[in-house]
Amino acid sequence: MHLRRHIPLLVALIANNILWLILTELNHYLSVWSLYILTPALFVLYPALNLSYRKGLLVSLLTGLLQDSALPLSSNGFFTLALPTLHLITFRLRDKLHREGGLDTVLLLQVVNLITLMVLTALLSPSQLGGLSAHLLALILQILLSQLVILVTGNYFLGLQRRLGKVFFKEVREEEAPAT
Amino acid sequence: MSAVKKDPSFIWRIATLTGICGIFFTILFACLGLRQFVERKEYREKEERQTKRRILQPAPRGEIHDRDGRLLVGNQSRHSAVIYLEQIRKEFRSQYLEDVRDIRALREPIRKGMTHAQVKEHLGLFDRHHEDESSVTLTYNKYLKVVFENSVVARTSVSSSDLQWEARLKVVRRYLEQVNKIIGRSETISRKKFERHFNRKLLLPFTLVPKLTAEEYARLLDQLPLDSPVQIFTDSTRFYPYHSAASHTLGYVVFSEVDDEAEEIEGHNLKTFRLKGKQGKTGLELSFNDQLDGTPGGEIWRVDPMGFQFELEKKQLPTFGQSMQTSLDIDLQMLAEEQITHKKAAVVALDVKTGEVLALASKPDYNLNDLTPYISTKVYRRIESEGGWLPRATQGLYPPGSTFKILTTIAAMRQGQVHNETDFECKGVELIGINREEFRCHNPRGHLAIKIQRALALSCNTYFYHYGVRTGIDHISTEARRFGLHTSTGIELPHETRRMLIPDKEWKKVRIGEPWRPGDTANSAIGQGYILVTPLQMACFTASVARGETLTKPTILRVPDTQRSNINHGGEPIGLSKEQTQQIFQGMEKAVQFGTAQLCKIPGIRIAAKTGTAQVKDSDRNSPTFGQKLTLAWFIGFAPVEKPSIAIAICVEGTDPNDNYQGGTTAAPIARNLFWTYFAKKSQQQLTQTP
Amino acid sequence: MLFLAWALLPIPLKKAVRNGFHEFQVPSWEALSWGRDLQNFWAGRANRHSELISQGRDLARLNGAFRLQVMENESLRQELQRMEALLDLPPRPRYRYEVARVTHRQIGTWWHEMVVRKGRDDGITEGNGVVYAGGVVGKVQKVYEGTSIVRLVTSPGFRMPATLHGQTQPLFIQGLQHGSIGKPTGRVRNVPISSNVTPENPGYLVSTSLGQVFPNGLHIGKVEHLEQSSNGLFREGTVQFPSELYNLNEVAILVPLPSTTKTALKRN
Repeated sequence: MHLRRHIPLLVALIANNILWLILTELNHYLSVWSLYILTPALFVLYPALNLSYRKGLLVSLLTGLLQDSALPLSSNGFFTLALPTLHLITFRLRDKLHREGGLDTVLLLQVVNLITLMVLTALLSPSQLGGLSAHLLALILQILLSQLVILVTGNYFLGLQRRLGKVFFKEVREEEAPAT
Repeated sequence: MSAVKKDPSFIWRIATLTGICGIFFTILFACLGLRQFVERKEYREKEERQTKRRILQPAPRGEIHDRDGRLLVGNQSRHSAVIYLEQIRKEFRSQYLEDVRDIRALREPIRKGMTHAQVKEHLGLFDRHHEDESSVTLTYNKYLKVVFENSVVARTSVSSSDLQWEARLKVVRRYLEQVNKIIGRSETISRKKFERHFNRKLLLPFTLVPKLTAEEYARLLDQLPLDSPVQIFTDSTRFYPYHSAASHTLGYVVFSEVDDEAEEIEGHNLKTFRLKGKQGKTGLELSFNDQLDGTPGGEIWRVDPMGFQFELEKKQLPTFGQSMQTSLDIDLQMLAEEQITHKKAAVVALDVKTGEVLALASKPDYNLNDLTPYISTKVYRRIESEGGWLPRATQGLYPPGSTFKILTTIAAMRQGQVHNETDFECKGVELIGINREEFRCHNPRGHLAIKIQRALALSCNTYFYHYGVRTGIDHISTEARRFGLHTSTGIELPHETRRMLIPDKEWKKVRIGEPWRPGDTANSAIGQGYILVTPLQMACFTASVARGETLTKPTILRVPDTQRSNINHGGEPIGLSKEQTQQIFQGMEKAVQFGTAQLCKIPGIRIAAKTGTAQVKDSDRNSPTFGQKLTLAWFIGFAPVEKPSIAIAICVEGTDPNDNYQGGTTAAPIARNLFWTYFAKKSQQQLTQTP
Repeated sequence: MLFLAWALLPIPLKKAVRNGFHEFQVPSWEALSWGRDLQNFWAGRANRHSELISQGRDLARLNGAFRLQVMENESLRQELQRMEALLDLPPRPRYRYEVARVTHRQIGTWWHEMVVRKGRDDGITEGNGVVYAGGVVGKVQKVYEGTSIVRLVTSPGFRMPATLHGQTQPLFIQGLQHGSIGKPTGRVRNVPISSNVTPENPGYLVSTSLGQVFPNGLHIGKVEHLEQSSNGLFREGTVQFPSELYNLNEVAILVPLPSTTKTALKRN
């Protein structure tokens, strides 16, 4: 019984891990065109909309650590902090959103993902990037591609996670106030 | 309240007070207005002076090329490992705090009234001991001072300034250690050097390791992180691909501060840090310093109160100095130098028509690469002991010996003393003056019946004693002056000597206090006695004779092809008839065919030459041969006789009284090789130019 | 709170967490990589026998040619050793080539790195050079037990010494990702002022052993145009790296042989 309560958490973690692996593989193939897709917002949607605050935070924190350990050192703990922050934002808005996904969640995903990628770009100093203006086109293309992936897969991925959760556990939307 | 209001004295007092306040406020606002609006500019400048700093960066100097465009002097990069101090400020601070913590922990157990033994128990042995009348101060762990009065602790103190310096130094040394580890050196830095840099040049990077080798440079590039405060700083030094070739002519540079007089760089009123630039010290580097020197670059930085870099406000890149093309032919130059290696000598080769210097060699000389980036005392002394600093071609003064006979001939011909068919009987000795002083020919048996051509070819002394005396010193010296032998040539090289001497009666009277004697004229006629000229002057003289003019203005700069046909050397025609000129030319040509200059003969090329052997007393007090007689071997000549294009003057100094140097045997073979190379190259060029 | 906690977390602990999570992911990456290899294997199996036979024959010819070259190289190497001994030259750095499969590549605007399937267990250390058949790939940035992260030469922030083919004066190359997508570029700086290159006669950049990371002469890229640097002392230009760099599946890591790692620097 005790274990069953953690099934949504496990589902979220495993799903995030699998999504991350798929993205890694996708990026491997995209590297031929020096393109890289990042969808941080996608990883926090299910935990923020369907798990309690603590569990959601744990999932986003662990996913952030996972991503940071796989990404180059230049990201320097960025996702460890970014994903919990995104989680907090989404969690605060979850009462106004469709928890099973909808146009509102797609819009939210687009906005928070875009902001996160822009912050990441700004944090990697221009000297590290070799002058921002010099590769603006590639950067825009990369961000657009990431946004497109979210647009296409966002609701599908959320639905998949919810369905998996349902299979093993009756749907519960855990209510808990976020720590301030 | 109303009573107070009605009290007139009160109202008066209030009014007075208000008035005074009003006046003060008016003054205050007036002053404020004055400061804000009227003196705004002045305060703004003050603010700028306090918060802005300027860095001046030298520009790379222009290059020097030979007449064919080959690089004679270029720039070579010099790398050093430097540390940017503003990037390690935080480390300075944290190291200082750490040190303070350590020293406080050390100080903690020391209480007033403790004895020395008790202190020793806590702190161990002291580093320094200072004693005055009333107290003893012991220093522990460098910075903790414990003052003992009446053998017990009176107070303790920590030298915070010292601690701060030491903390900074520790951080910098840590980075130096990192660099040393990468490149395998064991460089150290002293606190004095670091303090000096910190106090005076904080805005500039601090050099950790100067002069990195290519390998060290590559290792640092590979192993230093891009964002490390240690970076590789690159500046330029002069680079001489031909090492010692034309060293006196090209000259060298010394460090100098970047000149900020140039109006292009803003911020003259700001505190300025200057990176070391270069300035020509000798040779062309000095003469054309303004041209070779580029426009320095500058940066204006906003600094924080400590003087560390805060924000770059303006940056102006330095611009390259202009390059220049010399008239030197490096092949000829190197050959000339090779021919006189291990000798004290000078060789000058001129283009007869333009006066362009093709070669200007002086030996001993120095390797220019040894003088860059600076001249070490050891190198300086070595060059000095070898006599290498003196550019003999332009500053060496020598009696011209028999080469002067050409001038004597011209003077005699112009005075009608020597004609084409003038016969003379050389008996090996000539008696001169009332005292019948004997003047001997170099051939003791005499040359017997001799005419001007043979006299020149065989360099008969008695012939020139005889006709020199008949011509008179006045005419000889006047002729020498006409040819400009009394003055410097005006070549674009610095410090050309002005002490050349063409003696006359007046000179001897004034300088020696004796009357001129016929013997003096005889000596002068064969280029001995008081006459002193430089090899460059003799080369100009030769070129002038070859062209039939009195003056040749030598130049070290390549004359553009468009200007080659209309060069005015400022002289006049010599004033000899065509036949007279032919007599001289033939005399000189015969010297090559069967006379004294035979060793410079080259089949197929008509060379006119005159050799000379002079004797001088060594006047160098530092020389082991001081006061002894040394020989000088001279050669002057031009070719081809039918259309002269090159004139050469060579002077080789004997360094030992036993040296049997002679113009014909010592200098002529050198000239032969130069003529050979010159004409071989010329024919090759003609071949390549012919389609 | 989280920001504060992360900021206050000691660096060794952060490193340990990072390493732990990295190692956690390694098996899945390897599985993916093996999966790709398997995919290639089955793709190979799909070839017809006749095709395989003809490819085998071509391969045998190539092998024959290479065998001859190996023999020639061996005799040249011995000749070189004799010359070096005669001239008393310091020994050149020698390396062991550790061939490694690429588990995955991470190349985009933000980073240029790849993870390879060799790590500390195979003697790899941080800073080792990484090469492939076409030249230089980059350097090992971080080493884990069985994997390493390789920073590509195109990576912004990567710097290495090099020389222009036929010259000896060291210059340096810096990664700089811009230009057309999929066309790796960088900057070459400190090129001697006398060097001249044109699109018709480009300068080829090769590695130098001076930095003790790569051997001499490995191809890095080419430069077609050089302009004067800002300080006027050098020239600089844009390097075009080979585009295969972004499509590598196998690389070799240069592990310096112990006898030569402590070679004393020859001071001028």
